[in-house]
Amino acid sequence: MSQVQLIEMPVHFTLAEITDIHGALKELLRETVTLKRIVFDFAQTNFIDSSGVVYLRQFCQAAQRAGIELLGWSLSPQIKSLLQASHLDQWLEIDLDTEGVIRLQTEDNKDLLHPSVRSVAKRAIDIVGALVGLTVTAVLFVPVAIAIKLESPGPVLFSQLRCGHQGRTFRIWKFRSMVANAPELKHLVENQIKGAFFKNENDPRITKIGRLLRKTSLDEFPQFWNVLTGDMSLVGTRPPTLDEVAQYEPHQGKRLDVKPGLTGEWQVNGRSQVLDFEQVVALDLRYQERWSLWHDLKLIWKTVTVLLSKRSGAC
Amino acid sequence: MILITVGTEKFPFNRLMTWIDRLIEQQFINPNEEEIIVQYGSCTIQPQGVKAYQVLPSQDFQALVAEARLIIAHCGEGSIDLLAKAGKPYILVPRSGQFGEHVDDHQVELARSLARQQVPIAYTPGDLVRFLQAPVFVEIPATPTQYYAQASQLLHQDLVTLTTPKTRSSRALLPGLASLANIGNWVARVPAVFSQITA
Repeated sequence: MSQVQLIEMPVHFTLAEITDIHGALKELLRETVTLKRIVFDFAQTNFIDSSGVVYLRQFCQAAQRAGIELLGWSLSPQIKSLLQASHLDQWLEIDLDTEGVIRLQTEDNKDLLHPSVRSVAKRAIDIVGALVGLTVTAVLFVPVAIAIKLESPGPVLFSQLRCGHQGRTFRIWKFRSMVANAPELKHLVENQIKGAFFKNENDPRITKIGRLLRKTSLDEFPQFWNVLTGDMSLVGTRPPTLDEVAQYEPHQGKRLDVKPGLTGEWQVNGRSQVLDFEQVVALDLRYQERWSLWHDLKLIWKTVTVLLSKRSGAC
Repeated sequence: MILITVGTEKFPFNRLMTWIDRLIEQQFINPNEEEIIVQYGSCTIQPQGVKAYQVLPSQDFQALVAEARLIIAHCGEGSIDLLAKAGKPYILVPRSGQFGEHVDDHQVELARSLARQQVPIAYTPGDLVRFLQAPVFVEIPATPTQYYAQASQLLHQDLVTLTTPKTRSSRALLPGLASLANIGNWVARVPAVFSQITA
């Protein structure tokens, strides 16, 4: 076993190819005595789906724990921007000097993306909806800001890094509904959900006004900004935190094949009844299968009625 | 000993120099364990830790080819003619017009037709690493010079048949112009003629 190993990455790196390559990579991580570095040769790769990104992220973290450096060779511009947008390049160093290669496969891989991501009409609905939503948010902003400020010290808005489409990281915005140092206190709160997902019915970090904002879902309104910028959509998958994604199985990464949404399949299917992460994934994948503009519009309508009815599932 | 040669074109082939440098950096080849000789021609950079010569007199060059364990060469006619006779593992790296390494992409096209005959070609630094891990020698039945010659013969026959007037048409009145007008067709036929010969 030499100090550096070269791994040739496939043309498409999706769930099927992960299964093929995982055995070899797992073996390499055991070679911590001699192995110093793994070079990923991306010369032929022109598509990585969200499972692939989730898998690479976990492999990078495992390699870091094992003290093995990672290097990426001959990335195409698209793959490079994906690795940068998903922050994989903080573990996997991209060698820019190996980029100039003659590619034999120059197929268009747009058709490998989920149709909802390619849909111009969906994006148009998102922009219109975001502008309407931001108008409402602007009206609410002053009273909500005063209420938040009066109860507890700290900022009006809360922001956090989340995983979006194909594992790209983005900063999500909400009205702050917890105490300002909530993330530091998270380890003191018990997780009541099985799997890579955090939920607690009576989280003590939630403020009084925060409870009201959550009950009415008003805390989510600043996300219309995320919709406008294109990181999110009105309808999609729930945007997971980076910690959650770090625990994903590759197949669970598939839920990131669509953009994260303000609302989605599971938000309107009784949000509090869902107690198992696999159920969340199943609902997300069902959304991907059923997706159509009409389906989206129905979910938006359902969300509005749920919001306006008293039986809002948020706690 | 490993020999790397980029020929005597007036265009630099820095991409290959960088790849060799990376191969050394990652210890896929190690100049401390095995001598690496680079004939760098018009390149403006050279890999670390190698023995570098700008050009090599033909005799010295052939002696180095005879001595080398394997050879990495640009995909030029002259180099291929020589390597085809050398009887040892070699891999060809095509210069590309898009990166300003030659006037056009003819080396890439040549590489593609040679690849169909199983000749090892490196389009990427990863291809070089994989070749180094399992070097092979592939004999080519016809070297470029031979089939360029055959191709030009075929083209010449084409010219003759195309410009021979079958009937007294207006074209026959101006054979010179007619052949000029057809030049585009002949040029377009070159790849087809090649594949006829190399098949």
